[in-house]
Amino acid sequence: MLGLLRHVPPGTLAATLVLNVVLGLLPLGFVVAMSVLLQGVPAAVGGDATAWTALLSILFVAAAVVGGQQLLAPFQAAAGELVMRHVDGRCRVLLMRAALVDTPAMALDDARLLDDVNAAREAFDRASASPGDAAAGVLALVARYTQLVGAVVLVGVTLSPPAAVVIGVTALVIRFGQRGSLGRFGDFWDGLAGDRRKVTYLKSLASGPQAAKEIRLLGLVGWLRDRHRRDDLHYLTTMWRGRRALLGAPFLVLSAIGLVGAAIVFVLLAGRGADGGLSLLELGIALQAVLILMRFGVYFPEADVQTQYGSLAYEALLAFRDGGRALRPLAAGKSLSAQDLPRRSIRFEDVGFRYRPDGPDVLEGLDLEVPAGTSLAVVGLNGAGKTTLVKLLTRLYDPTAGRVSIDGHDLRDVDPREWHRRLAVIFQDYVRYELPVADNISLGAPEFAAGEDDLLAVARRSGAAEVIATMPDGLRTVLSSQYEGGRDLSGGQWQRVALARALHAVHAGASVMILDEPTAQLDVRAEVEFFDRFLDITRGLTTVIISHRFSTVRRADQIVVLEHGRVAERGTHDELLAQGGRYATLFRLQAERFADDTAAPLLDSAMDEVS
Amino acid sequence: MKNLARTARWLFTLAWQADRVRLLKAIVLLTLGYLATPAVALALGAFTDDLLAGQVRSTVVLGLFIAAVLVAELMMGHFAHLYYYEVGELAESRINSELIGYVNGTLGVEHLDSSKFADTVVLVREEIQKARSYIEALLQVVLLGGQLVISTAILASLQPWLLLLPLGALPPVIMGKYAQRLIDRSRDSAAEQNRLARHLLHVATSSASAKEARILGAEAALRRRHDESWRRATTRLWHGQLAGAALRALGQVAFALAACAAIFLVLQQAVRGLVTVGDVVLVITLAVQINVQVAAALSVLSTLHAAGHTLGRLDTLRSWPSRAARTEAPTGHVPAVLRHGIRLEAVSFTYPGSDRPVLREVTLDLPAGRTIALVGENGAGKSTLVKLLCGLYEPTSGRILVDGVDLRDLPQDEWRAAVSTLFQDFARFEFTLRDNVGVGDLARLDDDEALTGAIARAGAERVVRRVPGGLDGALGHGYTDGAELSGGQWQTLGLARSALRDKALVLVLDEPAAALDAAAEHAIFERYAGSAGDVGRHGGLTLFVSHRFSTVRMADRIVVLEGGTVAEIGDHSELLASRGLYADLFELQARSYS
Repeated sequence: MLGLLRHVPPGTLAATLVLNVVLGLLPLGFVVAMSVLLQGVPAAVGGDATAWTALLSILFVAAAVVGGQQLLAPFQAAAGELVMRHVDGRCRVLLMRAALVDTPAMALDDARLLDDVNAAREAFDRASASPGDAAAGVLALVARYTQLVGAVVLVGVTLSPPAAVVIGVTALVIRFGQRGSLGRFGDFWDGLAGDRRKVTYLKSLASGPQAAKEIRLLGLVGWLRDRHRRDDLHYLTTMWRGRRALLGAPFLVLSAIGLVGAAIVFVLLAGRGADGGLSLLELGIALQAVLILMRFGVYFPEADVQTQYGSLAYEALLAFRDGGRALRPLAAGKSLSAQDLPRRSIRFEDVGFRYRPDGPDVLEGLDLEVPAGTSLAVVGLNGAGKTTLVKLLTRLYDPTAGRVSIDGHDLRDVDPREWHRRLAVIFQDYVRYELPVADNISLGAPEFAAGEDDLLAVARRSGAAEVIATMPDGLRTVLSSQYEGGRDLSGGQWQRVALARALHAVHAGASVMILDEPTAQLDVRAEVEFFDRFLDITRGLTTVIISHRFSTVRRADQIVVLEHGRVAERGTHDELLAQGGRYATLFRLQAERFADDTAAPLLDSAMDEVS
Repeated sequence: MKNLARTARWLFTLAWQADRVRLLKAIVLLTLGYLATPAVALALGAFTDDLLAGQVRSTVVLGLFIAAVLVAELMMGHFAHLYYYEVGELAESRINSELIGYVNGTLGVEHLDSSKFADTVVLVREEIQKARSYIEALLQVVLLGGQLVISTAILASLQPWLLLLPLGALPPVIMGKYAQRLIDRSRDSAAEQNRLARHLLHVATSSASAKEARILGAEAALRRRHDESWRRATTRLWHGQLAGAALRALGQVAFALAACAAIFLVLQQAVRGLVTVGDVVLVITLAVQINVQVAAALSVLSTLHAAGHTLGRLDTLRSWPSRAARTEAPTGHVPAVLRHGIRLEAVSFTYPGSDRPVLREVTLDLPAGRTIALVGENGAGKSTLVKLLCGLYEPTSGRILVDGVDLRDLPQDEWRAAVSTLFQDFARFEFTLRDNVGVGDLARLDDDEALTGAIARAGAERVVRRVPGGLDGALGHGYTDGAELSGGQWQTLGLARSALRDKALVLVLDEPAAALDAAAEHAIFERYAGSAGDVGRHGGLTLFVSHRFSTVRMADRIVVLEGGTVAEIGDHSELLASRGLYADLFELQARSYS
């Protein structure tokens, strides 16, 4: 956890440390000043003017100490916030780099690693304590422990070293005993998550609108209420039993320890005082220092939760990064230049793929060829391997058998960054950046220096120009109404922006267009519009389109039907119909039902239905 | 103040009713803890005086007393919380039961269409999780007040002017308020940059978007934008924090001066011999704590204030107008067999709070034993008509007749038992498969024969076979880790649930497959329309709602709704021949896919 502090700029770190040390020492200064004051009282009794003046000057010093303490205390929180922002800023970048650079793409598809990412991200979203909070908490502990050490020293000097040890140990035992119990209770609490989930589910179901109709028509309200009550009481009694056990008896022990420690010190005090071996100054200091130590063993709101949960978030971040690095990395090949590829063709040669070594084959013996400058459509049932095919083609994954080759070169030997620059992609769930339109388009090729004219040119081709024309700030308008002057787009409008992004990549030199279910989120009208542009957009490019909509597929130069990870059929639409295979069966099956209407409204779902 | 008193009374009653024994235990323990603070100060003063006077025995006794009181101060609050948390958790459970009644214990569902009602329920549900803190605040406000009074009284007994010391605690409170306002303002002004940073972090770390960003090589570009917005937000927040800290410091220093003035006054008394050195110790110990006590009391008051808001929201729910059960006893009974059918007579409906009718003067015959399809575009009034038929809404004007008897004159529970439904947004009960189907007829929840019969009629055996544990296997992840079902499988179980009501007079399938594809919907339709289901045997009728014109061709009668009125009625070929809306929309949908 101390390692987090290296993310704080040295100046800020030093200033915060000094502030916290001073804040730890000032209460001790107050104790000393007040005791000196007490010491002077007997001499001033009876109106000795010199003694009174001396008393006042000491009071003045004490006031300065108290004033200083009160003056500085509020800045502890401010400094903590600054530390938190610095550390979180760095850790967020660590996480972004981990997700995009340090780990292979499969890290974010791994359920266990995904849990880690979510834990870290929730902390950064302020849903729980973040690594930055932990760092600020650690620094705040400096003030507390400075005070502890100082108070122990004061007791040791004024009363006796053994007394100092007794009361110091008592304070620490209570403090750590309490932290330990709360930690154990935290674990116990986490262990009840299953019971809590039941109660939460019943609560939201029974007092929510989602089942309102059924609850009335089926007469379920009493049944649900009883179940909620029963599960809730079961959860509560279990939780209470654990809480009393973990936080009851152990705290009685801690109380007893506190009582013994304090009693020893007060008896020692009384004894020394009776011997006359204690000046008023020493008595004052010792009493107040003991008070400080006895009140030490409490919960520290500025540090405890923050350090405990913030460090968990940091561990989750590191677990994701290191776990991701341990996954099978992409092969490091010869790093051939991807310049001008592909000139001849993209080929899948006997390609096999499985996500885990012991998992099922998602692709098996897959052979495909896309001649450069032509289009290939891939159709298939859910789970047939369409999306995996795209992941291999974009080299997010390497095949586990066979190879993908570009003009005869194994894709593993092609420099991945350069290959990515050859690609223009539109995924089904393309990213909707909450950034200006210009950035939304230029991110298609972030390193390509593009002027506004370039961006507008691709926007015109994609149809996004009409959208931009209605925007208050044109290209500079942010595409989300959550930002000042920003605007929300409809699904169809977003589609055009995403298309402009892909076309920008083409403008920057990409020659392979990959469309993965590009119209899945569109209504019928917008889809028709999209495919009206299809031929224009893909002219001269090598195109791979993944779709389950037949209306899309018919226009491709070549169609392949994927089934169980291999090619079941291939050909043009007409050829496939003539072959009378899978494609034709599905097509005809649907067509017949609507034969007398000369329409095939159900074609889009024909492939799904068979599953 | 009146509100505060009412809130306090509410919380006390709530806690008292939840568990009075535990509440009393908590009060006793907490009181001991709160009395300990002034007791420590008094005892320290006496300890000092006795020590100076050389009275060994009483000094030792006082020392032991102080040790005990210090431990009480440190620990009693902890032991008390074990009890009052339990009280609060019981209270939360009770309020949640109460909420269930407000939301789903009423006859109609009109109130659920109000976003204000829905928001209020959500807020109460969230806020009542703080029931423990609310009850804690109630106890603390009383005890802190008492503690403050005792401390002030002790101080004033030594020097009457010290009565004013609590006033010195006000500047920190007032300045704290202004400081918080500055900090909140800086948070607001940084919110947009923070939101963007958060968005970019999510883009970079979510599987789908990271895939795209990776291919585009957008890592550096995203990081640059992220850092820039994060840095800008940090600058704004830091300035806000600094300004806030400065204001707070001013307030704190003002109190420090007041405390030092108090010490000055008592010193004056001491040099005149009016008070002892021990009294000076007492003042020093108490005076520097007054501001902590005042701040704590005020923060506790603000928690009570929040509790007052929750109470206000509960009042809103309690007094929400809901359709009352009819005062006069229903005059009719629901027939066991439907002979003629259901007739809608000039039925109009307007949602509460709206002035646009959703249905206007709809007159429609739904003959017994037939399959009727209800089609129309989104917003045509299909779902509203279904809800009226089920008795979830009452017509604003006009009436619904069941074999000639007004629906309003029938016992509601009887009618509801005679209706079997599968809604577009059917409820998924993520309990066991048995519960999921069995809620169709709670009386037969444990009747395996009836359940398997219904499952067979709905063609859901395949789903049952897929679920580990079969009938008693858990489903979904809401309640516990159960089998994950696809939308279609859930829906098949929904059909089985409807099928369990085999004596139903009306079977309503409201866009049962809207979440699936057209082919699946067609299959469901064929299954039910072909035989008119089970309900046809005792004159029941099947009402099939869809926005897909291609699905419903086989219905005995197709009703086309448009803008809240009946546009056309007939069978498929009649409607195509009449070249009206049905024909138009049918062909439009067909064309767009060719």
